[in-house]
Amino acid sequence: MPRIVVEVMPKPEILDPQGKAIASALPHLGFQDFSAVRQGKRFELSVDGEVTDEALAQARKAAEEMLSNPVIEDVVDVRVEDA
Amino acid sequence: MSTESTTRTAQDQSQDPSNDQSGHTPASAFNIDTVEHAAATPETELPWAELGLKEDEYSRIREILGRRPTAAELAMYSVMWSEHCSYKSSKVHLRQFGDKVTEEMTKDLMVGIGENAGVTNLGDGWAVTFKIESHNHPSYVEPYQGAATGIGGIVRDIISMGARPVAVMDPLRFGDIDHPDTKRVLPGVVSGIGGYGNSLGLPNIGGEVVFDSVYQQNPLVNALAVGVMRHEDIRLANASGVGNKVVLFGARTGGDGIGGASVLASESFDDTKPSKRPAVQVGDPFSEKVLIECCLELFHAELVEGIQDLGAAGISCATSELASNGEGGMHVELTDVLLRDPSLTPGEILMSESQERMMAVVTPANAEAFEKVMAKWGVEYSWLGEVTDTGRLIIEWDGETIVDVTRAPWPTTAPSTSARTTAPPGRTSCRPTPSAPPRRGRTCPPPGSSCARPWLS
Amino acid sequence: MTETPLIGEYSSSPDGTALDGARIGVVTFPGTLDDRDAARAVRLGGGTAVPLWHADDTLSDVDAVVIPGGFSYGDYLRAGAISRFAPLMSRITEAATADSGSPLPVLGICNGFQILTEAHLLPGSMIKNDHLKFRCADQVLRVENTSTAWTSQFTQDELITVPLKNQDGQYVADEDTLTRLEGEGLVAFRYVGSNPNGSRHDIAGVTNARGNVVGLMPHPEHAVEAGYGSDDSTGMRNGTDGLTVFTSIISSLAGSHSEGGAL
Repeated sequence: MPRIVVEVMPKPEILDPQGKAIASALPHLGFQDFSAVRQGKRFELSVDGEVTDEALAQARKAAEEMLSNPVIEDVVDVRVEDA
Repeated sequence: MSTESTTRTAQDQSQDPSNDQSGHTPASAFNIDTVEHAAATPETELPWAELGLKEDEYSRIREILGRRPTAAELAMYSVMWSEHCSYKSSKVHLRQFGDKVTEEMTKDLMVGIGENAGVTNLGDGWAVTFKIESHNHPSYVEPYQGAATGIGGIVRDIISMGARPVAVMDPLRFGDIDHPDTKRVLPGVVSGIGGYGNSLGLPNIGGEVVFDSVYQQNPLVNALAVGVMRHEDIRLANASGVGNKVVLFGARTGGDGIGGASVLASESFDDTKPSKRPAVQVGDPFSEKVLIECCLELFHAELVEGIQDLGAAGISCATSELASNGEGGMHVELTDVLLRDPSLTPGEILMSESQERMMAVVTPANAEAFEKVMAKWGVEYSWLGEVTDTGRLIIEWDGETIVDVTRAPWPTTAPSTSARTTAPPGRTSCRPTPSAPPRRGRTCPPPGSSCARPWLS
Repeated sequence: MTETPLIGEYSSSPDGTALDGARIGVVTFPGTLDDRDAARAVRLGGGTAVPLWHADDTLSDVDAVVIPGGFSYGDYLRAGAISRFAPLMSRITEAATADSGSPLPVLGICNGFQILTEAHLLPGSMIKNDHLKFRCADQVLRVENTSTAWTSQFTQDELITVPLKNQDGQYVADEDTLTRLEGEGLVAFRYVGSNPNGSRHDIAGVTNARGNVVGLMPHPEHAVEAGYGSDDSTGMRNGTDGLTVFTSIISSLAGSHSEGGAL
């Protein structure tokens, strides 16, 4: 069944406490190569049958209006994936 | 605690020289408005109105300085003289706290107006400190984070008094209970206060709420924090002791809370700057909890002369408050500030309201021990400058003086303004009169009702 | 900072008994919240609380360890996910799983339980409560295994009331694990009344097979002192059911000490 994947990230200018905590822990566990971490969210919206343009448009709308908080988050990707 | 592991962490820290790490835009990228330049260019137009200053206030600043302010000084005055910091329109009301107080009322008062929080004697050598502060507009824009950072701010005030925070409370005012905006704002505010407090181990032990249409689009979100301490643990923030060092610690400085101040882009050569500034601040309760323990450890080991929290107006406010509470002046190098956003201009760094930051004054003898405590808790810090005997607050950018003001208490020099009071349409009084009559079968009780409100905590 | 004076006389164990020698380590991570309460519970139970720092590489000769609740490292990634890699956790894991002698008794409460599951010292894991909300309320539990180091002073199937406060408290494990836990009697505490968070089989706490490692979501350390505990029939906040967890470990240790002395 195909599904629509929506990815939401904290806005670049906004503090990301989750990413910050992970970034500061990584070196202690021996992972030295990463200078920053940002943590976002991935949503998988399943569709019965084919993903129509309308379904994709609805997913985009849902992503902007409900799955993300436009004050602090950006929708960075809405795409179709085969499950 | 194992000294071995502490030392190792301290070394890790020292391998990251703060200057290289701070990621500052090189000084050459900015058209730095130095004090010297300001004195030589009296006719330069500054965006004082865009920064919220009135014409008479701008004239007063020129009068105080004897020249036009630099861009950085203008930024500082705009935030220090904002209602948020100076209470210029509400101080006429607040003055009543001084005027109407009796000796009976103050017999247990140990620390009063003018410090970060009040302290009252509890007896048996114990004292309680508490503070209430509003975070109205941020909570209206982004209810969860606005209310959460409101809690963060008052908790840092409690810490800076030397106390361990133990609880929070939340008196709230929202618009009409049926209004969609109330539905949007209330749940976020309530969970923001509870969520941030809980992450610090602080229960929300009470509150009250009134719904009235006069609060439509202007909810009052008050947060109160309580701390307890022994009498001998009471600390006051001041920068006494010439030669003592000034240190900024906690979270890095970002563009938080300066969205409206992007006019300061005029500081910059680059037309594309500033990069986007955050519309709201996001709280990091984990960093705050670490700050609590870290500050209590600093106080306990007597490693700091004073700690000042960074609230509204950030470094502007902290440096001036520390300096004006002490006896001397202060000298600060602003390029030493650790940044989250390297595109920030000096004025923006001074105004930033980034959360979970503290400033301390430390004697040179205690500097190394201070750094060990920072390393233990994994807290970033940078030494910014020192206490001087000049009686002036001097801030430099890469060695060039961009702020040079007397250390007189800034907020109290703000001109008073008297706000016009008008009763809301259809009302005869400016006092809120909750009008929702009790209705049967409502799940949300009308104001004044004694129904249980577990959904509020 | 000075500690609030102890109220009541729970801490006064008779001089010269083996109880005085019990050293219980209390672990602090950045973001730990209940370490002071846990240390206090240890003292009220008659033991000596020894602060342990997550970055330490030594157990400081403690006889047992409590990993208290809170939000270690903010719990932003997963509750307990980063903490399990702390140097001290390696020492705790080694000592708790040592083949020879008596393994180190370890108690994980709330976030401490989550850390123990992430460290694979206990089976299963915790996910968000089924109702997705933070919940703070007194909770009735049934003590189902009284042979562990931390439950020996309870009576079998004793009902106790202690506070529960969490958002990620739903205990989950695969069916094989649940079957094994039930079959081998490794469920230490079970929720009684309504299940507060959707935990599988109403499980509130589990033990390892040897009975030295126990984890539970509710907070026994918050119900150890009359006036500040959970509500009970004698009055508000008077419940001290949680104290038995701490007297259990101290008497378990005293027992193993005296055995050691006899040898």
